[in-house]
Amino acid sequence: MRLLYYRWEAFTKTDIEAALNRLRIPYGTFDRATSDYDLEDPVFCEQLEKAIKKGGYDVVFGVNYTHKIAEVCWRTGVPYLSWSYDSPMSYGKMAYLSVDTSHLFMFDRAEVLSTLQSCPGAHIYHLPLAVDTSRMDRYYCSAGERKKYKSDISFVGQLYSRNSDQAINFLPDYEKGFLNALKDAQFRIYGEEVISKALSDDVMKAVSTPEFMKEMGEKAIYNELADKLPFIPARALWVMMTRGITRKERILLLSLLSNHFDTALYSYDDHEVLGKVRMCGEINYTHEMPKLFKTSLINLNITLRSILTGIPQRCLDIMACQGFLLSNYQTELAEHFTDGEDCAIYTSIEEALEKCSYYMKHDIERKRIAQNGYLKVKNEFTYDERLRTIFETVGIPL
Amino acid sequence: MSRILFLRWTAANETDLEETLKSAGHSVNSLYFSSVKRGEKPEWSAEDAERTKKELRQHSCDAVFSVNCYPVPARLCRDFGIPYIGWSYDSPIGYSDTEYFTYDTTRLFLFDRRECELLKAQIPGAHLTHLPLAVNTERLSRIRYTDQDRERYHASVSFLGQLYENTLEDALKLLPPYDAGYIRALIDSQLKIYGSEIIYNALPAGFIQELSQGEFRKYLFSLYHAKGAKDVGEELPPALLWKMIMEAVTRRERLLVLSLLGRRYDTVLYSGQEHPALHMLRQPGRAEYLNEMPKVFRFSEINLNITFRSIVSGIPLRCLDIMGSGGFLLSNYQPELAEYFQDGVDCAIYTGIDEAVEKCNYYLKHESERKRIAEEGYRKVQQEFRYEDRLRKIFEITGLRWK
Repeated sequence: MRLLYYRWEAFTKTDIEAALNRLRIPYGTFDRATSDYDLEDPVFCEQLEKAIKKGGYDVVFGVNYTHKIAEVCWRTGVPYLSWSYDSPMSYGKMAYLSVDTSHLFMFDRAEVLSTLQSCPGAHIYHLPLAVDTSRMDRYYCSAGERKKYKSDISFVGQLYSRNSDQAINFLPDYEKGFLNALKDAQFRIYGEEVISKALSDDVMKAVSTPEFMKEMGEKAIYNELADKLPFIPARALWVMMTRGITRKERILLLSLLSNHFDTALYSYDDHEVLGKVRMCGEINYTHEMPKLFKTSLINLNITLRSILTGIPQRCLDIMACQGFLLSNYQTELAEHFTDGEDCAIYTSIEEALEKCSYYMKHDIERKRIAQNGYLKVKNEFTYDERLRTIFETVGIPL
Repeated sequence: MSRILFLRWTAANETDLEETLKSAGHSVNSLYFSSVKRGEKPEWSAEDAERTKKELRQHSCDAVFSVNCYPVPARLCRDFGIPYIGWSYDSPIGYSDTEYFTYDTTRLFLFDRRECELLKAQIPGAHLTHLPLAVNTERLSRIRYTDQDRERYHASVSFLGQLYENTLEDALKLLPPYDAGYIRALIDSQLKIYGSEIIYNALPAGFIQELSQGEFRKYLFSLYHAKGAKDVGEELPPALLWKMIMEAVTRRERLLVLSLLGRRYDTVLYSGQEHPALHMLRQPGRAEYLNEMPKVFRFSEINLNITFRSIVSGIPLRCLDIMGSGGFLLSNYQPELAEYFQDGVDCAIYTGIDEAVEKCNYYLKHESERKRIAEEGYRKVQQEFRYEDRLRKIFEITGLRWK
């Protein structure tokens, strides 16, 4: 097998390359960037095709599905294996999902099922993410770093202050009430998707007022097909609303916790004031974040609500650093991990506060849980195993 | 032998309860009440209270029993030091007065487990036990079915139930557009979700108070109180709005399923009122519980259960009635139904309106499979949903001797 790895700027590129090396898979790399916002990028496609032919590659592998790569692979007859860690995926031209050469591995099982419904027969598989504990093991905090990253509770993530759902205010009262009800209902529920079921064609027609469409277009929310559709696609509205809910949950929970504990937020979204939260700005994913997770007593995961069932990368990163994870309920998280044994799970903001209070007082238990989480991801969430699964599923011998 | 004072208001399962108690050798003294209003604010008149008190003074008894749970008998029992047993077959059981749940003499049994858990969490010290309903297959097996019955009650699909004409959806036009849109969204989304209830936590605090203005308040008030009651501006319970939303969801689901089926198959609706929207169905009126309903269930190829959505997890009596009569049951998903029964084995379960239509289509074409499932369902309820077993448990928890 000669593999062409589309490297892109993915967070996980180092870990994937390390795994490819461990598995002794010879690979070349292709690093040219292409924007999700551009449906077409003929230069990119031309370059990629050239690279495939020149190198004699017989399989292309990349993180996050890119329809342009799918198109090139289909034209050249080379299998394209993609493994997503974003949800929902931005598909661009969905047609290339269904071609024989495209193989898409997605970490969110619910999204696998719904995508298969739109593209029956496509090669779409469920594959949870992975983490490289051996890399995480190599990070040690100096005394200065321990001081810098010390906190009771920490959270790394966006607040979606720009792409949130303020656009809803541009709707007439009835539609505004309608969408707010869906948000309020979804806000209190984990493990069940409520909003999309109510976004019927009639509803989408009703909300696609000129003002609202303009507002959403400006926020580049449905940029993929903007200007080309008479109505806002339900999916685009749904994505916007889930961001709004995530924002609300993150702000509420962090503010609430900051009243009781030293709570630090690492985010590039740092121009807001959230209760007594310490705004710490951005943090480097590869080299600094692991040190934070090793130092902070409790590490939060508050999943982006468009990730329906999947375990976000964040959870695995935290546990791989032997950090104690407190996460919102996610169906797949609860399947692989157990609340109180290898992580902690909350199903309401009140419960999150309760659990923080409890685990702040119970050091030994907290550390034991963190250790169990570490062992579990070390043994069951490895890149090697995932990559093997990918090649096996597609029928490519290693 | 125990002496039971049975306070009756003609709930469907009262006859079977009485029969089972008597068969086990207990004496049952029945007192009938008609003024008790079902579902909404229970109004046990002063006269009813007096009659009950008189009965308790004149004839000693070991326990007072009622279908559903009421504060007035509970208080009387507390005063007399006699156990009060309430076994629900509606859910929710009542909104405001819950103090009586914690009396030493009170023992309540709720067929909806989720409601039971919620109330237990809200009211510490409440004497609540989850207890699924039952069906009297002994009585049902004694019914004689004739060829005339077969002819009269035969149908491809039958449904017994109400369609709740005077609903929230009509009243939405009395509300400001924002609130109307808000409630509409809750109805639309709950309609598509089975197995969980999403409305309760979504209703903002004080929402019902906000809505309780002008014409809409008049509408809510009329649902909550008996006719002619005077509105003194009391706070209406949020649970009332919740229940009205669930009723609207139920109505929509029933209308949709029945009209889709009615267009394809010979479908019968047994209901108190005729519904012009369902003109493609046969609508012969009500079916009497004890003797007629079993015939409907036995001679219909498919019997629908479309649960009133305020029943969040429990198995409605209707499901057990259907299976106990040897009928084939197609029901919406209910968590407890899926625990005791299995789709395709002893009943059929749908989790979406399209699926309901698909399964009707399938099972109407596969007669022997359908009959096999109905037989399994009958066997299951005959063994595991017996009145005797339930009452035995009630007696045990109440501290009475069953035999």
